[in-house]
Amino acid sequence: MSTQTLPQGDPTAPATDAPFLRLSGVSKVYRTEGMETLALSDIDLAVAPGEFIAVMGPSGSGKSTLLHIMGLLDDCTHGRVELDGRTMDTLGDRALARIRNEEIGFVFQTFHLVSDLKVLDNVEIPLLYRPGLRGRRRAWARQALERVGLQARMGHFPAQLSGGQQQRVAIARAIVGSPRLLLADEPTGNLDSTMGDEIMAILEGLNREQGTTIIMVTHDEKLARRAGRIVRLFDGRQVQ
Amino acid sequence: MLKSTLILSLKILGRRKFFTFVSLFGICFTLVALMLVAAIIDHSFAARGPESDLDRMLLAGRMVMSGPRSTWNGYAGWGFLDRYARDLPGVDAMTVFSVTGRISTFAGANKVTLSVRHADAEYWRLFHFRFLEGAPFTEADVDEVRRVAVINEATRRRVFGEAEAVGRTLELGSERYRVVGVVEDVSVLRLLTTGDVYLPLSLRLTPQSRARLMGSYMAAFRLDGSLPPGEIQAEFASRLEHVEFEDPERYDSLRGRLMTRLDVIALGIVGGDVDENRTPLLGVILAAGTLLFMALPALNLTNVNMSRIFERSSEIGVRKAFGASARHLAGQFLLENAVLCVLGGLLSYGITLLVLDAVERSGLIPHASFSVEPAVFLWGLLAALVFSVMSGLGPAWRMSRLPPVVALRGGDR
Ligand SMILES: Nc1ncnc2c1ncn2[C@@H]1O[C@H](COP(=O)(O)OP(=O)(O)OP(=O)(O)O)[C@@H](O)[C@H]1O
Ligand SMILES: [Mg+2]
Repeated sequence: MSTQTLPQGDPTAPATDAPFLRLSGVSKVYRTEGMETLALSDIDLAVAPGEFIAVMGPSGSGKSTLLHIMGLLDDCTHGRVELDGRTMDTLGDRALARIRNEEIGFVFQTFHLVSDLKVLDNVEIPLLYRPGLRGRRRAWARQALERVGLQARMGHFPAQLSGGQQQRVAIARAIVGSPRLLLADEPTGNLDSTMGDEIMAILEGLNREQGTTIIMVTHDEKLARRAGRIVRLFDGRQVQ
Repeated sequence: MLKSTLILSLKILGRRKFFTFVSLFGICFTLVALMLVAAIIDHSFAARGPESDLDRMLLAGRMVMSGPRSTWNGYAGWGFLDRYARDLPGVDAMTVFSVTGRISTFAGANKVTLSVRHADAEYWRLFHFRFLEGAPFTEADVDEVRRVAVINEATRRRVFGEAEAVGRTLELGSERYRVVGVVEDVSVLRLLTTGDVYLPLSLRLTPQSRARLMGSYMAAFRLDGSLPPGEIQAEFASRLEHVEFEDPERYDSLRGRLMTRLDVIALGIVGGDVDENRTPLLGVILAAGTLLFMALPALNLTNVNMSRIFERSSEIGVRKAFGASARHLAGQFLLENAVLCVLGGLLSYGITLLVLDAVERSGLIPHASFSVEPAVFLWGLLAALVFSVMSGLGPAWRMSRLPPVVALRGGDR
């Protein structure tokens, strides 16, 4: 099991630090009605604090699956996930909930906004489960929406927004709690290149100014090259 | 956090109008039905109003007299009650009174039909009527066979208008009676005490009817508490064994039972013979009926809650993904259910009062006046809460134990 070589000469990735997130021998098998799909096969990956990684690969290669497992949103079939040196698969529901809440922000490929809640309420969700924020939740949610340029749509329901706007709500929700690890599954997939550039700039800003570790799935080679490192998947296997 | 969770729950309930409506409807249906039934039972059978001593009374009334060729199914006669039912042990007072009969009279040009009851003077001591005017007729009135009458408020209004009635003359059929008292109306569901006009029992008794074993009389016995009711009932039963018959060729046996009010109701609802105890059977029937009746809305609620869980699994997934623990989610669902139940409860209370008020106004049950016991309401609310929590929490809990993306997909692993 080899330690990942970190990219040379990248100022945002202090190569000397111990890994912030480490996957060892991770596999994921989906079982549906007697059929088994091997979505991830024996993935080893170490992510240093403050790294900006782009995950690339053809459709169905396991990118979303990988992100879900890194975000503690799904169990892996084999292997181990460690965050800050702690093994995750032995943790109980409450401990996991706390880590998801405080350390991780997730942008789903299909957004997953709560259709019954307005944009502002959607963005507030992560803050609901964080104690001691009394009275500050609204303000934080507004700031996050301003950051993605959606301050004018706070009172809308998700169904009343365009795909790109929904995507930006999903990004605001992921960053509202200032997580240390931001996992974004094609955050620019529904945006034109100008908007995509803006979102990319936001992510780069978070990475640079707050040291947020970012792992982003993208199909856009140009955007991927702006990341510090590219992880490529093919058929569930890590090829680079 | 409780406040923001509550606000969020209300927002979602507001958005899911159909779900909210169906849930509220289910809860209201159960609670309103429960409270209505309780109000009617309370109104008809509870020890209150003139019948406030009902709990320490035994009643005689329905009897069966039979012989080789015929059977007479009816009420006790004066002769039987006077000769065999007096001086029962453990009884400190007894009254004999008739079932009500109907007599027509004229109020000006209008014909009114009144329900008339004959009673002895003890009747007014065992049953506590509220007198608006005058007083009950006395033992002397009964002994001297005086033509005096106690009427109820409704009769006073119909016959005499708003004026005072004591001292005035009431014409019934071809007879004239002097009104000595006016009592508050008693609901027709109160079989022992309802009536428009109360007359001295002696007015009805002829030498022949004084001897009869069967007739149209009931008797109420007030217990002094020195003996268990069972012993008094046994004594009554043994006295029935020794009844002397005028013409044993025709009738040679008399059957009946000293009953509590509940026994009387059971006999009326379940049927059966006068000397059988049908109360346990009534209990079983009522319990089964209530269960069945409560089961329908409960099932409905369960169903709605289940389908809602699957509908809402994606919301559960999202919340989990952003840091909700299974406990948070269970708390949220509990809160939502509680909010629904309280809303439904308040709504039901209002609806019940409206329905009861409408029944009272409609005159469907003359002189009825219902009330809803707060205890019944609170127990009903608690039952609704338990039902909806039991139905909603299970699936929600299971769903919230799954990994977030599994919940997001709708729960199938
Ligand atoms: N819930 C599931 N049940 C069964 N198979 C699944 C499930 N989710 C994903 N898969 C399979 O796992 C493999 C990897 O899927 P994944 O969603 O990770 O791909 P992806 O790289 O994100 O693709 P895309 O670029 O299209 O989003 C695919 O073959 C897919 O069919
Ligand atoms: Mg994907």
